[in-house]
Amino acid sequence: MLLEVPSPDISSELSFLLGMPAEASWLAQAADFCSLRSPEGTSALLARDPTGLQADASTSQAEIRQEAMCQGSSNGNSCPAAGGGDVNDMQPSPASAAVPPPPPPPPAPHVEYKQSTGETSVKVGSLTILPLGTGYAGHGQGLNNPGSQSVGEADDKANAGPVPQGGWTIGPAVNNHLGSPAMPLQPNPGTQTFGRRDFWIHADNPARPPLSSSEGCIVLPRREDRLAIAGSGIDSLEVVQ
Amino acid sequence: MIKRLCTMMLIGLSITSVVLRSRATGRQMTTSSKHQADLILGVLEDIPGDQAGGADFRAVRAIFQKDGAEWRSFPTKCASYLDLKSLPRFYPKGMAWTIAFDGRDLGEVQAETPTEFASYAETGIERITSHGEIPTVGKKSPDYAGFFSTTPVYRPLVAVSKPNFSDPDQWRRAQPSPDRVVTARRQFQNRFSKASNCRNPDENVPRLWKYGDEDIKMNKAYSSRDDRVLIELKLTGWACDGPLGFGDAFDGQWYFVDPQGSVKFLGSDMWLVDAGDYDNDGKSEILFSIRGYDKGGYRIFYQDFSRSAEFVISYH
Repeated sequence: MLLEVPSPDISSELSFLLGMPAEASWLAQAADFCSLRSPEGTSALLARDPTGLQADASTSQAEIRQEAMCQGSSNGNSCPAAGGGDVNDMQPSPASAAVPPPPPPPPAPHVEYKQSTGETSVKVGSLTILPLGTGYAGHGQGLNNPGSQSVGEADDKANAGPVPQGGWTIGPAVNNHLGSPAMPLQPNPGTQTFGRRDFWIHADNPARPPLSSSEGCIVLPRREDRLAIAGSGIDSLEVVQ
Repeated sequence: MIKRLCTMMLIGLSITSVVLRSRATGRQMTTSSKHQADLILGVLEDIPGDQAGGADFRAVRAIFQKDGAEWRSFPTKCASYLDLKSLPRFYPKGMAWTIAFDGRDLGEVQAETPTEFASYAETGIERITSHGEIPTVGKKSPDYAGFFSTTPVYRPLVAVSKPNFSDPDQWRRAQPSPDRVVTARRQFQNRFSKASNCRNPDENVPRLWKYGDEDIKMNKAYSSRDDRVLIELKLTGWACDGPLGFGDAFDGQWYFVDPQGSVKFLGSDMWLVDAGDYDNDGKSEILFSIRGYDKGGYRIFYQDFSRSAEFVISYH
């Protein structure tokens, strides 16, 4: 079910901050608010990068590949040995490869998620409009660990890393076993996903030990935070280190 | 004279050998050296586009290979995502596939394995190279997509490297007799003597819940011509906010009940794709699609449910 109404508490809070009625399109107003208060204004930022995609294109990384010999295991579906190929085939791991400087944040309203802390906020450009609750992504050694963003469950079941850095599109909110609501994420062009896909922003699992319910998805435990994103109409997520 | 006879016999033997070999591998276009066995089971899938706005695409995923009496999974696990480049060498390079559904032959497609898999979720995927119509059954639905994907896609269909599409056991959707349901329900209750649920998603505090028979729903059931039954049971009324429930009583639990009333638990987090005699041994195999948390793939049951094999992928 598509959720269209933001959490009353947070939208009211934001409306109070902006001095606008709660039932108004609150994020559109937030954008206006920021364009008025930003030194350059949203319009100026948009003129500089009207599509907002230049940043994504600049983050594209060269493919780093490594030959590896796979060997069957007893159950016949395991490919355990990386680095078993020729020495000349070895390349630096993506985590240790030179990383280009981070792109400027998109000028349009977007959700920003910090891999290292789980901090989540609604931003316009670099201005924080609304801090949301702290989430987490990954588990074990991969928990909130930017260095493990290339490690998925297929690599290391016990230590999956967080959703990779870059631009993502937030899909329509649904109510399912991942949460009420939960939102799918799809990478924007240029986002290096390290062979990982089908991430979600979803709820925590109250029956499991703390910080253990993510294979890389963004877990926002507070339902009102997910409702706020779902109701905001924002479909842009920036994952930063 | 004897020398000429021997030469003719040798030529004859060579011709016979070539003919037999070409018959044995006739439908397998090319394979890597490690996969000479020629009976491979795949699934024709409709895969949602990975990137925002990306279109879904049809492809065949090679999943199992017949090895003597057993079905073996192709490799799926890797030490790092870099191994996605080396994985294709363990898969057939190209195949002509017979597409089967419900005991019928829906057509044929040819497909080739790419030089590397684009993602973990695309492990085993062969790109379709033939230009004819690709078989479909029914309408697109997000129910058939991957990890809770919201993209509507076509139903997966079994693909076989040989034209083995019949279903001699004639598995069909059915309403099993009440005594079979009671038998399966008893097993369900033994398996889940306790369950947890929340009052509502806002509170989101799981509490022990003493459920009753009326809370156990029979989701789907199938029966064979010799009165064997597959029953999926689950609890209804999930009220928590969160991914509690994978593999637990709120997810479908599958039971096999034979005519004598013996019951066997088959697994959870899965749905039945199709049944057919894919190895031509006179008995139908049953293929389920696995659908867990960050987990997909297939599970095949064979030899009267005494044996099974899994092809498991993760999405991230």
